[in-house]
Amino acid sequence: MKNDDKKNNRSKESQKPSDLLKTLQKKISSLRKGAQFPSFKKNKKDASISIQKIAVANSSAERRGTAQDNGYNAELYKFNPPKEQRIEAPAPIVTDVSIPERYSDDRIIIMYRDPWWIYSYWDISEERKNGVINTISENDRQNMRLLIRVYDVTGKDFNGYNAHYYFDIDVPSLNANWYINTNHPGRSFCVEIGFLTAAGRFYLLARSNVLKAPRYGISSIIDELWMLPDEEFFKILNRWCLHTRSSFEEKNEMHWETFFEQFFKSQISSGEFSSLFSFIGKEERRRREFFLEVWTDVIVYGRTMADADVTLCGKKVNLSKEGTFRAHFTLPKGKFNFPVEATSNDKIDTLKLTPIVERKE
Amino acid sequence: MKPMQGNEKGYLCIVLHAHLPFVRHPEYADFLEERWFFEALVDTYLPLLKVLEGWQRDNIEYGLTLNISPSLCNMLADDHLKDKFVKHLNKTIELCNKEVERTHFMPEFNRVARMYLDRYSQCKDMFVNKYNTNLIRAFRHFQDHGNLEIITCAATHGFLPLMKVNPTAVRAQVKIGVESYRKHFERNPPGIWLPECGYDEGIDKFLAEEGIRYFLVETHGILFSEPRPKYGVFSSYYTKNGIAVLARDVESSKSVWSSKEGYPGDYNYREYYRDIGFDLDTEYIKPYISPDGARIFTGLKYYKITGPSLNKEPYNYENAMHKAADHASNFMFNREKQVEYLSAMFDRRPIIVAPYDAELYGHWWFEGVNFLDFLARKIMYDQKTFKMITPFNYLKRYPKNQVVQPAASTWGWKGYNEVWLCGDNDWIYKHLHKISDLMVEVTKKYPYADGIRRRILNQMAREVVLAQSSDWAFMMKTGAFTEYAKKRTCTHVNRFFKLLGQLDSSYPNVELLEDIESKDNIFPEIDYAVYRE
Repeated sequence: MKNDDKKNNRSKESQKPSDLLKTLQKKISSLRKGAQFPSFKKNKKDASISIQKIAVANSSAERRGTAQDNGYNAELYKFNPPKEQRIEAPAPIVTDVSIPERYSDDRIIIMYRDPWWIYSYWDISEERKNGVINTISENDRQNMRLLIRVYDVTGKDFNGYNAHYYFDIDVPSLNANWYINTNHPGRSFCVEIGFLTAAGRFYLLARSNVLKAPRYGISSIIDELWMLPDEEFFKILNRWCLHTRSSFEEKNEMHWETFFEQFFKSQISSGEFSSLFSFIGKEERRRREFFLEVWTDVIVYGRTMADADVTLCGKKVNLSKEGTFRAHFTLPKGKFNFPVEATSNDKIDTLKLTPIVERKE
Repeated sequence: MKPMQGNEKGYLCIVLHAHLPFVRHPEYADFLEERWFFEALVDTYLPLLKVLEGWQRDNIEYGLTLNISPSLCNMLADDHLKDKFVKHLNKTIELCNKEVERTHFMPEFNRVARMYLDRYSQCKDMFVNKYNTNLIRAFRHFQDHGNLEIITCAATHGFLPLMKVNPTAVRAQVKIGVESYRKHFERNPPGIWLPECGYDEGIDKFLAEEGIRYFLVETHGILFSEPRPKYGVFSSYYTKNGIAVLARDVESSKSVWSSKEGYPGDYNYREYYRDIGFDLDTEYIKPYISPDGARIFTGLKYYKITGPSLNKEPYNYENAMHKAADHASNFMFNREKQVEYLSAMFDRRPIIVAPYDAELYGHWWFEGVNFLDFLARKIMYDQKTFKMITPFNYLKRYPKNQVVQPAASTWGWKGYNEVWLCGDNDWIYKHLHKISDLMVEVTKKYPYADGIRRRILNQMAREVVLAQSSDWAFMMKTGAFTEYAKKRTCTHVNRFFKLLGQLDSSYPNVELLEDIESKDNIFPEIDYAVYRE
């Protein structure tokens, strides 16, 4: 029973957008001429450069026309392959509205995920690609690699050549994304996408923003004005683990990393319990246990003159316009009386009936 | 607000972060996701007001910091949602009456049913009669005449560290949030809650620009700061931009947040997951669940947590209240120990910052609001070691602070951005960044637009901030309401481009504009000029 309930709940969620779809599509079709997705390229195939071919978005007009067939999702995930193991396959996206599939804006962007990983996405246009390829000699175009080059530019005004070091990652297409393990908290990075020829020359397609990865760890820089001996400072830190009853005095600088590891793992963070929209997933985890529940409800209902006074179990009952009444009880084990008493409006007639119900197991 | 004086050795600073994404669908009579708002009102916001009333009536010396996010403010002020909420209350009161009857032969359940009838009736009375549906004014009253400190948040709870590639977009989120606060609370916000405590170097600059006095970060935001923070997380600090920063204490957080070690998991407390919306016979419950028959939570829950097994026992409100009082004592005792330990080492009175999602109290932890009530009263009468304080008052007391550069951090799982940047949601950023950049571009192109064009630009700004709500990425990650979250992201991006398509036209489609304006009516006062670089 519970499982069915859940299914119903799901189907409800996915149903609503499709309802919305109908109403909105009417509106969209009337607007079709006006609406434009500006940076859209007209149905061009990505020329293959001995690299994996990728599908390219259709024009915006066609795109909207096919919004209903869900074709959009598959492509979305093609362009943005999930980088992590999923618990379940992504459900099809039912959208009432389409969004541009790519922007071809010759841009590469980086953001950090945590002190050790950055995420990068890019979208290089055909024009840009062809423009760069044209600068490469015919010979060098053989066995070219498309790659991203990750530079450590900490403390530099990066000009393409003055990085502390760099490393390369081969990437599959001109419109994709990647998680990069930089592994150096607190350092600044910049990423370039380009072609590397067999001879080792790098041809730049686009350069990213510069990004500083979060600093990780307790600073060894001490403010002269606010100086505190190490042991005193770690006494303060030790207030942390009161609930684990560990001895604070024994903890020292060597242990703080373990502290933080546990701290980040323990889920005391936002959303886990309090969020108004996090309960469904939670419930699934809880309801694995097999179970059976049986309840017994009794419905007592009847009919009299619409203007009569009626009591049920000693309490006044509201009558419908037709003089009917209905009450719903859940019964535990035992024997129960349901005295029903009706008195006519003029108080002359009184009738009483008492059904008796017994529940045994 | 007057700074508190006395012989206390330290302070407890409880911060509640009340936020919901802007969910409003006038195109539907009944919309599942709008219930988040109704549930939060019944479970958290109204009970919290009742507690504040009680503290004021009894002259309780409290200090409470409350963030009401701008998107929540806009929902609280929205007539359409107010009407729907009253309908929701009426319907639930009708159900409560039926429940009192249905449980007639089961006294333990009947008591709980009566409690709900009482609770929902009270909520309706407060909302409709006492506060005339204006809860913002109600909260404002306790700020103006009590010790409640209300702070703001980024406009739509946009996650700033992943927005920073376009600084103007960050500035706009902050600015719109501050403007919204000024409008609703008729003063400047003393502080700001960074969405998900998401801090990255440089964000404090935008806060300082708006005259904000302080912000809050996760524990390691301060512990990993540079130079080393002398007092750990138990003091205020300044950033180079002159804005104060305070960080979360782990110990006090854990005792409430953790499902295992925390108070909310006590077996006497109400079980959240057993709801009659799922438990009762379909025919009976049909009018109170989703119109298409899908089972949903009604808010009426009859069981206590009981234990790990699925066999649950009926809830007993009195017992649960005793537990909440016990837990308040325990919480207070632990803070006393903490303050005593710290004050012995410090040359100033330590502050323990304990921030929580407001909806944790009352909604998830049903007895949580009562816990807060007991706690403030006990702190006043049962001990002398510490007092409650707000960050603003602490800063009045300690205006001189060490200057540090806080470390990038969030209060999300694993402490950084992974919740909002993973395989489930990373696809959204290229769109979010694109529309932010385009917004800056069109603002440059039309710096002083008027008439329809101005309205189009303002609506585009609304679509940008609505798409930026961190809640959508969060839902995609947690797997609850994923479809809705995806739909919302796509909807706002789509609407942005539709409007953009009208912008250069000599005959813009006014019907389209008005349709979108009527649906996404957040921040009526918005001025797209916030996207001027």
